[in-house]
Amino acid sequence: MAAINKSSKDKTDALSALLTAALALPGISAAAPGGYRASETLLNFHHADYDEQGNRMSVTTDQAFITTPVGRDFEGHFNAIQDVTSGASPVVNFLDTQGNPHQFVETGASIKDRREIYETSLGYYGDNSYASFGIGKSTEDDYISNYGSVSYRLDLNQKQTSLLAGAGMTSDEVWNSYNPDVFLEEPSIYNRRKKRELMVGISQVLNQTTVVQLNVANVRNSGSLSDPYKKVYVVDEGIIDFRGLINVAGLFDFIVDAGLIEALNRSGITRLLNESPLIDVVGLASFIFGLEKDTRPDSREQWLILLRASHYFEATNSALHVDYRYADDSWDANSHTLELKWNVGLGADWQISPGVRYYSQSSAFFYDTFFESIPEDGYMSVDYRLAGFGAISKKLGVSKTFERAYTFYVDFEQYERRHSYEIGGETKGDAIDDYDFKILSFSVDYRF
Amino acid sequence: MNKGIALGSLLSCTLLLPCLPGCAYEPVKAYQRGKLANPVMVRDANPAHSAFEQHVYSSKESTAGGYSTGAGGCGCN
Repeated sequence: MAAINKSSKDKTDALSALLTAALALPGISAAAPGGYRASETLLNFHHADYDEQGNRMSVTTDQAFITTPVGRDFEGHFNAIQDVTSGASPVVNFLDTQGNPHQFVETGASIKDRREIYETSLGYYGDNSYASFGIGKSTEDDYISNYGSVSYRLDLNQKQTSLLAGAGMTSDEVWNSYNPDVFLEEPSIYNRRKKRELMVGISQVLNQTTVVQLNVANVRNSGSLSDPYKKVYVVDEGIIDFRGLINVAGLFDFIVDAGLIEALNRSGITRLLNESPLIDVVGLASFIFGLEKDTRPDSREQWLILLRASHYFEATNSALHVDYRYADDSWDANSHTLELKWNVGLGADWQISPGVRYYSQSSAFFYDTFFESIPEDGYMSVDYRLAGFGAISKKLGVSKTFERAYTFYVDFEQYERRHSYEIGGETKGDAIDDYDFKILSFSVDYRF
Repeated sequence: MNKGIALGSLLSCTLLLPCLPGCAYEPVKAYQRGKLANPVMVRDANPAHSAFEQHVYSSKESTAGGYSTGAGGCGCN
């Protein structure tokens, strides 16, 4: 969407466009300004499919975005997104007779969710500055998120240096969409949580071919941060220690693979059990197998440092973009992200963009694949997103612009998550959480 | 990786960047900015796809953000 507008007044400030493009952001900022006020309206449609291996989660998303000039100095943005998610997610890890954990994924039964997002923002262009204000709302079957942000950019040193400051606030309502037709569903709960973000950054033109940028951000989450859908296997809380006696993991694998749980869910027997006043299925499972709730601290703070560099290569009419991000987390899930993207101009308004991304995180201090007993502080989770792991993404994007009015994009990504890819490989995690996914997306820009 | 080592590495990289070939600082006049304004220098020419990618990462990894402020959350599984 970084419209390279050729109109009279605005096109003189191409550097400003570049700097803001370098600061281009997800979320509200996906509707980000091109760095100077566009004199044309830009309409974008985007469609993407996300698929995890093994018929787990799949997501289809459609997005429409419009940016348009308002008056002499303002620019307005509106963004609408709809996601449809289906499939299954890991619920708990059961143990086999050797005490090894195995993921229990309730395939064919669990998730069918729709997310709708509406965002709008207004930007003001000063002589050497840009200010914006945006609000948004995201709604799911089990989640409502209201959020807003302000940002300000000040250009200095004949626009070779830009300072950026931003703040954001998110207020969420979260509950589990209790479905009595699903095995091991908890009764409905309702909670709130908040997120506060602050960010400062500086972007510097080093020379005729290189731009660098440094961002520092602080993110604080508070409220209910536990996952109401996930359970934790605690050996001491079970009726007996099944290890060496019964292959509990194998038993649950069998009843899932044989379609027994799906049959129970579809036949209404699960609903009958869940709604029966005589049987507490969740309580019974907890009593027998020691299944406890995912329990996390009610606050979290992360410091993030982002270093970016972009360098133009004249011989190949290409640019290499390098990002490095480090996150320091009060839950100890510290991470490194390194991303390289190579944009190559092929002529006739064709562009090809291969890229690679590497991500590595350590495990949260309360994460494990299962627990022998409830920890003293009571915090415990088997959520695979809190494990120690690494991930490698391979990406390829192709775009073509026609008559400066239409641009078509196709992007593909293949993502491999492996416990063994973690830097150092010293923290808790297991290959049971390894998986792959693919993203394929199509977009079109239309300027008028 | 040790936190101190990571931050030290980052700081070192930041300080060494200007020493790399092609990364030395030279003031740039307005008429010298043609290469910087080349479309290939726009990191994310398709921000809708980039935003979706970041949403996927934030729902599958423990770290989110650092690029901007203002994105909403999700009840991702």
